[in-house]
Amino acid sequence: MGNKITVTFGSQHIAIPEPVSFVFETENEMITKVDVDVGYVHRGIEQAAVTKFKFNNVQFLLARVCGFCSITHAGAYIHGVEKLLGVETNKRIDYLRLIVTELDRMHSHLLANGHVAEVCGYENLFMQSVKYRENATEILEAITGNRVQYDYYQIGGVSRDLSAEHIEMIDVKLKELRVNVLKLRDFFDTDYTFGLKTKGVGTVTYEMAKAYNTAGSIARASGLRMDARNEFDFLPYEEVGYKLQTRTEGDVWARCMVRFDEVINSIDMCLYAVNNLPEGEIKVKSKGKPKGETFIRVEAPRGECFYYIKGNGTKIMERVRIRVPTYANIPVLRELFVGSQYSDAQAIVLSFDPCLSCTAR
Amino acid sequence: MINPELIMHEVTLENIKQTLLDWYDVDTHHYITVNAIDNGENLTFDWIFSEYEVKNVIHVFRAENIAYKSNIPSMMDVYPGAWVSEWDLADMFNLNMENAHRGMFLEPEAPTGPLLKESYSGK
Amino acid sequence: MNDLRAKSPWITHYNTGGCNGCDIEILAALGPKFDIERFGMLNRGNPKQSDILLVTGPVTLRCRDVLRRVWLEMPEPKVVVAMGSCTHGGGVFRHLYHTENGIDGIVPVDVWIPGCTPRIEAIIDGLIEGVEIWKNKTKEKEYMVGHSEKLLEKIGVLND
Repeated sequence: MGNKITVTFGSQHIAIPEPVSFVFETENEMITKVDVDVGYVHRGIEQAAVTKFKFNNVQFLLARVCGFCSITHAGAYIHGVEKLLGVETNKRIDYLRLIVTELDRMHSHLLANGHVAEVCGYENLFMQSVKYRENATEILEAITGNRVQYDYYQIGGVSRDLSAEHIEMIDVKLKELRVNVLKLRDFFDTDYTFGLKTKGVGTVTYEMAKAYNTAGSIARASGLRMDARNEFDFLPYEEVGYKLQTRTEGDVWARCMVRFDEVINSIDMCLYAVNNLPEGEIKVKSKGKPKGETFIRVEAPRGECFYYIKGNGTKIMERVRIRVPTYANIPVLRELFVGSQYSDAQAIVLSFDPCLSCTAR
Repeated sequence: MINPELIMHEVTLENIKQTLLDWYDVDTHHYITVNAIDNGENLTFDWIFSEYEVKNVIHVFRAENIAYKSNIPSMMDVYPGAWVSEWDLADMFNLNMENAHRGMFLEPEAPTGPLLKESYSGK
Repeated sequence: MNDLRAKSPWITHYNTGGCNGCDIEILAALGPKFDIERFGMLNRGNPKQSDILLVTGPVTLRCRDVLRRVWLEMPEPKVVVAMGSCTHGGGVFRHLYHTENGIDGIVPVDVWIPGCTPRIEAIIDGLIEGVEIWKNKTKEKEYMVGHSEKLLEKIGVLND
């Protein structure tokens, strides 16, 4: 057999916007061993959440755990604090939160699929995805005032309301986005060359997905029926037409397709929600300080995001534990590399859509 | 408002591994994470699970009054993906965790056990 | 010559532990709507071919030496653009135990882009300003601050 060659991937690399380092040991083209270092982004947020910030400001810190899923991090914390304070939100608040959460999922998924296309050699397809994605970010900017860090969730409500013009604009833009996403999906589905690069590559079998407790689109692409939106009532998903999307192939291609199906489902949910928006206030009063403990599961774009929060009746929380989806997918990612071709490594990493700033916090 | 249905199981460090080996079923149970809470004098450990396609159910295996220097068993025999969360906790609480590699997140110059109360409250 | 050079500045982007928000916006800026490629800017991962170092994030302890190394590997003249609140002194992550409170004191910075996250117009503005500064720079080496001898030896610049 050939010589062993060590190839490093990261921490600074063109394909991944975040610092993560993989050290592959390869034999000819085959990867035989992999070391992964996910700790580059560790900042100490869990400690800061229980020392430096008051309980009603922690959501601004937690939103900065990750830019892609900022809304889900803040949302999970707010759901927990509302449970501890006994705040019951009305339907309008729930719907507004759902709209922003789903828009966030759309833009994250489209960017993730664009990245897969880019590392497979389709730079124009990446540009196309970014272009279509602008529809979602424009809506987010109109609703929340910012393109990435929204800070939309507040204890007992949301920061801004939707006007009639907003609803009209969202309706037009989302319908346009739906047509464009279907075009992209069609290309991913039928293109022969793209299929050669992605079908049968990096396959996570159903048994593997179960044994390693994977989360998110990785689990659903392998046929595991696992979605926190389905298993935990944090927002009224059933009313707006949520459908669980699964595939059975479990390869890079299936992960992309699951993401496209989820984007389509999210668009439909948002369209229903904006057109059937209930009346009501956008903020309900809350008082007191959080006391007790609670467990929260929400669905971030990458999968299930779990929070444990504990308050002790003072302004400062006692414990905030964050467990993010990528964290659950790192073990299976490491297993997957061994025995695959080095040339597929980038596509495998990016089809997992890793979020290291979530993982290391 | 969220309404998680908690199912609490009392365990100790000695029997947690056997309990989980008996209870954990790969087809129905989804391992979420392991969590530690610093109570000031001792630690509380939670092993947290959910069930596939069952609404709002969260299983918590809770071991209380754990001394700071106890040997914590690793659950990698029960579910092989446990290492990330265990190594993370070992770093954050300066634990004697079985098989844990230290330094996954923390640099050598960073404080040891940053989530221990004594390290941030200045006692 | 300097004017011709400024037609196509290449960017190396390094995230030193931020939240990704800035990185998403950089990708969006490369995309068709904002299209910074019309200024000749391309995002190239290789520091040895790049002219502009675009840094985001509060500089975690583990990223610190990587950032210095990326900066040292870039050829002169070069410009450092610091993007986002947390790069400017830590932002929301200031005085956490595992961050360096921003890029200042690690590498010399030429342009600061404020905001959390900065608007894309601000990014474009900052990069254009970076190009203007870059035109007037020479090939002389800039002063290096606080690098460990081990790192300098590794890169082979100890005797410079």
